[in-house]
Amino acid sequence: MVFSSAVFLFFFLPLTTAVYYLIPARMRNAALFAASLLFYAWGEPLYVLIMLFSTFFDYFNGLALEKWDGRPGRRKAVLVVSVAVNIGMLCFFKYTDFVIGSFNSVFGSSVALLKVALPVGISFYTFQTLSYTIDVYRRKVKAQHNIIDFGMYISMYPQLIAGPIVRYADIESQISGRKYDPRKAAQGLFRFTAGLCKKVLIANQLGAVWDDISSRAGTLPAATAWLGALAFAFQIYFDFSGYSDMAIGLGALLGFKLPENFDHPYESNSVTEFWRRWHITLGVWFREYVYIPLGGNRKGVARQLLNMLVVWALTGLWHGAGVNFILWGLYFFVFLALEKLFLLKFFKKIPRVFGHIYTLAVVLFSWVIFACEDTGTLWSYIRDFFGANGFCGGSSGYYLMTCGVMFAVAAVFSTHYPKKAGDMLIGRLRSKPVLLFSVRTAVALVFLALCIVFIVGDAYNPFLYFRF
Amino acid sequence: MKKAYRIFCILFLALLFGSGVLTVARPGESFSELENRQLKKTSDISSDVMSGQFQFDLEKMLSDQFPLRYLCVTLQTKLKLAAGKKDIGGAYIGEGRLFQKITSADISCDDIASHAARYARAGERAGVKVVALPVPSAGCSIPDLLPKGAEMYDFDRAFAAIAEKLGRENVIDVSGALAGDPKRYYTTDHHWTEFGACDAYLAWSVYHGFTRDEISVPPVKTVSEDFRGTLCAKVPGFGIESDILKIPDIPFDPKVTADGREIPFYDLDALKTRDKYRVFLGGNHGITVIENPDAAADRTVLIVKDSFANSFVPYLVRHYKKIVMVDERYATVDLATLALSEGADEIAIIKEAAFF
Repeated sequence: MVFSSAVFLFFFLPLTTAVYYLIPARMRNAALFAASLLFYAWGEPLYVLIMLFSTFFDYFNGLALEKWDGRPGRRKAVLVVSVAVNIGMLCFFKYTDFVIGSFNSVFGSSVALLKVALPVGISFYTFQTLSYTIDVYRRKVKAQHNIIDFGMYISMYPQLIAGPIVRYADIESQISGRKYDPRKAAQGLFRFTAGLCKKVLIANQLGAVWDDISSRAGTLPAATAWLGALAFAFQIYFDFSGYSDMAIGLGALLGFKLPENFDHPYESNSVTEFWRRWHITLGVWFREYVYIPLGGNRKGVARQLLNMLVVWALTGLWHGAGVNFILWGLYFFVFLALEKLFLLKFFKKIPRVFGHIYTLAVVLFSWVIFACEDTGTLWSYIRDFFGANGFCGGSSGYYLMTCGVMFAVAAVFSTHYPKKAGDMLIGRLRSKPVLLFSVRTAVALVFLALCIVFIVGDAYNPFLYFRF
Repeated sequence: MKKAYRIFCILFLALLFGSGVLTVARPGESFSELENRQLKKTSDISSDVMSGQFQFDLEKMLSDQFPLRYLCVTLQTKLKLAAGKKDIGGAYIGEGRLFQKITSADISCDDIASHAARYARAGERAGVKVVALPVPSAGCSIPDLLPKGAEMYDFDRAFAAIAEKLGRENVIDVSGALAGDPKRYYTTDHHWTEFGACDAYLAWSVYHGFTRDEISVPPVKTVSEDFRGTLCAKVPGFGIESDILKIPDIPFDPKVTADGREIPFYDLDALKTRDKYRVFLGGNHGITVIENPDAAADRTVLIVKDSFANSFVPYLVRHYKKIVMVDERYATVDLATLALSEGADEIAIIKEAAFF
């Protein structure tokens, strides 16, 4: 199920929230678990079993680790098995055909692809179950004894499909310690609405622009190619951060505090800073479970760079089963390494704006690599990007004129200024709580309605030829 | 204050649930005239959960039956227009007129060439000449009226792909005749007007060597002053004046059989519906046979068509005792066999160049 769908908005959300709050508090985790399974099974009637297997497998691994607390050999074995099975499953569903295809390309063979469908959210929930097992192994958290509570942690619908990646340690106290707070619930709905707007009003619109421009890769003047990349850069930010906003908002509605995932990343002044503000929970996961175990920066610069290389190759690969995704990860490794070695020091000595412009340029180009999964298209687009078809053309003016307003809105809302302005306004009205409440309610409902207008409008589909 | 927050949450969720209930509780509409398609009703929802069809149908039903649905689409269109968008729903918004958006990414010259080759082979097997009249889309003929910088596919490339397979001498080029004059295409529909069809007819006549005495442009008759075609359906909420629909008033009474049933040459009942272009032959059928015993010559032509040919054929009726029209989207036929069985002297392909 998808947050920006009529089924979710009109039925799933109101009904599950109503049930959740009408039943006794001790039954809430079970109800949320059940609702989340329905949410997941709605889109994956078969693969819900995979997700359940993954959940129960690591639940029992946690118990085993606890049971064999004094047997380091056995504990290590449990850990190894957990990691192997989890990664193995992820690789099987996600990377098998990529491996087969690459093998075919390199050796000229024609082994048939398995064409296994990818279970939705597997990259996210696998990382969550893994984080649990590893943290229990490290004795950072105690094993969870209630299978329903554990199941709820993994499957809770706000973050199941697309994060934020919630480490068990972050949520352990909230599993049984949630207190009903209507203010947080209301703020959750405000946040949900903001996220919905980001997705429906901005991301979807700019996504269509990227599709339009990229469909003609190979014929684009440079300016058009840049506008296309810009459209994608905004699309992916508003889509992903919008989704995270909706997840955090829904979590708050249910009494949870989920971790932040985005912190206005396009305001960053270096690539290092960018990756502390973009998909924060993923960065944390890789740091905790790959970078630090490999030694982090405690074994000298050369080893640190090697560790970074591994982390960034894996980060790229996590995003997708394609060569372009690995390239994308390695692209960032190059800049992160350069920054670590000397670029950061250099940028500290000059006005911040230069660092900002450099970061935006690096990130903008990175999205081209990320977005073009087909190597042919990618190469054509890169050539366009650097002027193979000239600098400017009719299409450049066309997209600037027809998307200019959208780009401006997206740019403004990529910064923290709208929130700052909103907070200031709220501060001013704090002495008039009724007015403040009315304004906030009205604004939230108007934008919710606008999103519904767009969701219904997007489904409008005229046919040129009758019943064709 | 806590109470206020609680009220907000309840209000927010109740409004959402209320919308859902209103949507499902409505008796529901089954057909959308504006969209020219069936709408999904509660009774149409599949029960196949495992394949995901139920989920898909339910979502579709909710958006199809949402109350004030057209208001939503209209509002969305107006907002997009206000933000400066010039292509909405697959239509380009020109100055006071709409164009169907067809870019180079939407067409495949390889597909065009392979169709042309297929037609050439059919002609060889039937032993008849194959002639093509690729119709340029409006955006190709009057590019100056497109939004500035908007891209349309390259008609010349499509033309060249067809000419390569059929032979240049077998392809009639009407792009010159149709270029530059906005009167030759409707403003709210992607088809050519009676002007455009007439110019194509003149080019056809010259190509086929009809004598000056034979060529005759019939007077046109206005049948509707409120024709709002396919393109304005794509952009509801865009203010545009209706087109005037005119039909050639031919001095013949041809017998028309469509897929076995006899139908009138002009379907005047269609003028009471939204899709008024269907006045021409009642729309698209698989196989349409038009017989005119009073034709100037005993010629038979097999036309492979799309809807552009529907408004072109009235001009041809004078010259052909029998016109057999095949719309390959609605009928699968072996063209060579059909040409032989109908005694066609020629196979003609009259289709929009982009989708040849």
